[in-house]
Amino acid sequence: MKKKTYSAWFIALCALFLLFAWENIQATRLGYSVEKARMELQAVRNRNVYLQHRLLSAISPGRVALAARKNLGMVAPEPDQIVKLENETARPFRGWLAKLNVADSISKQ
Amino acid sequence: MSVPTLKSRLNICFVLTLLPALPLAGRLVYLQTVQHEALSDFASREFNRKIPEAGPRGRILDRSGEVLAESLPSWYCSVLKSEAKTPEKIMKALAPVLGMPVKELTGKWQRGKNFICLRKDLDPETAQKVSNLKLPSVSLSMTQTRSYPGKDIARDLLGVVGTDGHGLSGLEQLYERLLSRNMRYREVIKDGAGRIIYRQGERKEKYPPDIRLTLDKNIQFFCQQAIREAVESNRADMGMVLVQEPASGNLLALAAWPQNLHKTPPIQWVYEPGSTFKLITLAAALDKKTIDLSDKIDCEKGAWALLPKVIIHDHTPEGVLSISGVMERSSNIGAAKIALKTGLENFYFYARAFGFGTKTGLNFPGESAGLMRSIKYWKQVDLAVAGYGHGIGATSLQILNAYSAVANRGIMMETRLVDRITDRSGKVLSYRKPMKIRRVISENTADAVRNMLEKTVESGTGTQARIRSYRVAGKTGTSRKLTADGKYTDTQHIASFCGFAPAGNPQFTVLVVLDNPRVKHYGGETAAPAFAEIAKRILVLKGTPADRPEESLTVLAVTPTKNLASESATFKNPLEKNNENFSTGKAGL
Repeated sequence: MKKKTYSAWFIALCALFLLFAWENIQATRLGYSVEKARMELQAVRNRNVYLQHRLLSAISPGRVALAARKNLGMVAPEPDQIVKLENETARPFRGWLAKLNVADSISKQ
Repeated sequence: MSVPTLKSRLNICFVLTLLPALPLAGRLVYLQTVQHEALSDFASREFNRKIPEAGPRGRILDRSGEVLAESLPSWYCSVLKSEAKTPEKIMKALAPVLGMPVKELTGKWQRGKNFICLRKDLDPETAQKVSNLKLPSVSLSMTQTRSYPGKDIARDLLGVVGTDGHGLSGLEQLYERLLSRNMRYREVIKDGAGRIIYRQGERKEKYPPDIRLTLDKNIQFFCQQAIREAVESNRADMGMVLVQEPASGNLLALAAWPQNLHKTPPIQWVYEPGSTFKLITLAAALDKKTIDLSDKIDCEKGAWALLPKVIIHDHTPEGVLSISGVMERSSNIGAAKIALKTGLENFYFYARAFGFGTKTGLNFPGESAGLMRSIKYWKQVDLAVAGYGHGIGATSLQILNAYSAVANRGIMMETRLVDRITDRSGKVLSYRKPMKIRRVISENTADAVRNMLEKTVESGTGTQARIRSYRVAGKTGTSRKLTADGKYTDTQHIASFCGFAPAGNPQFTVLVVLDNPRVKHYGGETAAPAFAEIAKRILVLKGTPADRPEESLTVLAVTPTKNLASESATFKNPLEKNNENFSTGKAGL
């Protein structure tokens, strides 16, 4: 009877050791995965920062003015050629301007 | 008998087997209890690593939150000579990815000792390509590079950041403590192969605060464009423009051409303001009531001998002028007589009250207080010539502030360049609202001076600063430059124009200064047109309604048959004195 009890204890102890070893290995493996995911996340963030920077460079006043002048043949208006629509209900940006505005607000965050 | 013997033998064997384990168990207990702390620390040192990561500097934003300066992650690619066994192969593989010829890379290899930096400022894509090559001995290290999305917008004001990430000039230097990046340390556990095993409990990334300036990116751009054109067309040595909101003291633009990343002339450069200083002379005299608007001044037909050897000249001979006429015609003799009538103490008091001889409080590196000697050294001749802006030195910012005070009905506001300090999410950490410094002159005096400035633009020396449909107030200035031996030269001048618009409700003050214009040298011919160009652009940008609507032309109404998209219509404005040609252009920008 005593022998059986000892054996049971021994087996339980071995199982506990194995469980501990398995848990340790799994934790290490997960550690590698998490680190890899963190690196990927950082890479995506860095890429995002670069893309936002490119967007800001693309819509900088100098480039917009150059494109407007050279590609579209636009000229600067005289002040009295501008009509300000005071009563127009403030409307959010639409179309590509809305996208630009969203991108702009992200970059400001 | 044999059974007990066997049993006892087995017991002896068991004890003998366990006996060596006993000291081990004892040692284990000793290590796990008594030595636990010391050994645990030792193990941590072996496997745990603190990895330094260069964090970004704080961003610099314009008044609407547009990014003017930010930090971007970048990588530098390096190679360890001692670990590279096949350098030729490595260089050949790296050359197309780094965009460098093999010869150049080989040259760096040959010149280097052990650690060789092959290329800096790699973007994420290139860094990834290098990483994918999996070359032994080649490593990539991340760092932060300062970047300016607006390219040259306010670059001289923003300043420079060194390769070590510290601000060397401009705002980058002024706000170094605030903006400076934090070297972040991340604790990780590394395995035997050096691979990182993630560790829980990483802290959230912290960014340094952002600085939001009062500058307007678009106005800054207009100013940079306009001053560049003015400098080039007048073949000047240097030019600068400053724009300010009189009601708040906010600086909207500070531009200089040619740009120098280590100098900020609008704040640092000192010059003799010339006739733009007549504003202070007139304001002081009117406010102190030493003259009246109905008074007349004899301008001595263009030459007045103040002392036997000191003769003051006007650029055009004038007879008797009204007080307003002195300003309109920019008479030096008239201004000198008014200054003398005002008296030294009064004149000096008002000049100081307008901010001359003191710094603005921006604390900008290299900011000058101008040159204004102590009152005890002044003589009558100094007072007379100071009346028309000679014998004293001022910065552009001081002149701008003085005009803004007049535009603001006599109240001088604190000059503001930084609007607020925020965290990354935009939460305000520090904000100082616009502050009144002092009332310099009374409202009545300010209104009177403003009317004179308006007349100067309407019919005086500043007609080229006129803008159709808007009332503009301003004053021209031309001063001769001093040579190295302290004598005035006839060939080199400083031309300037300072004014504000719309004169009825001033929204902005603009100062244009040109150093040594060679084509024409009067402020009214060189700086005034640049002022008009800048003011027009700002009026368009702000959508400021015209304050002289009777002069405005409804372009679309008078040219209904013209196709504005394909051709331009040209006609004369009968209401304008100059009958300038007016072109509608093709389309609005």
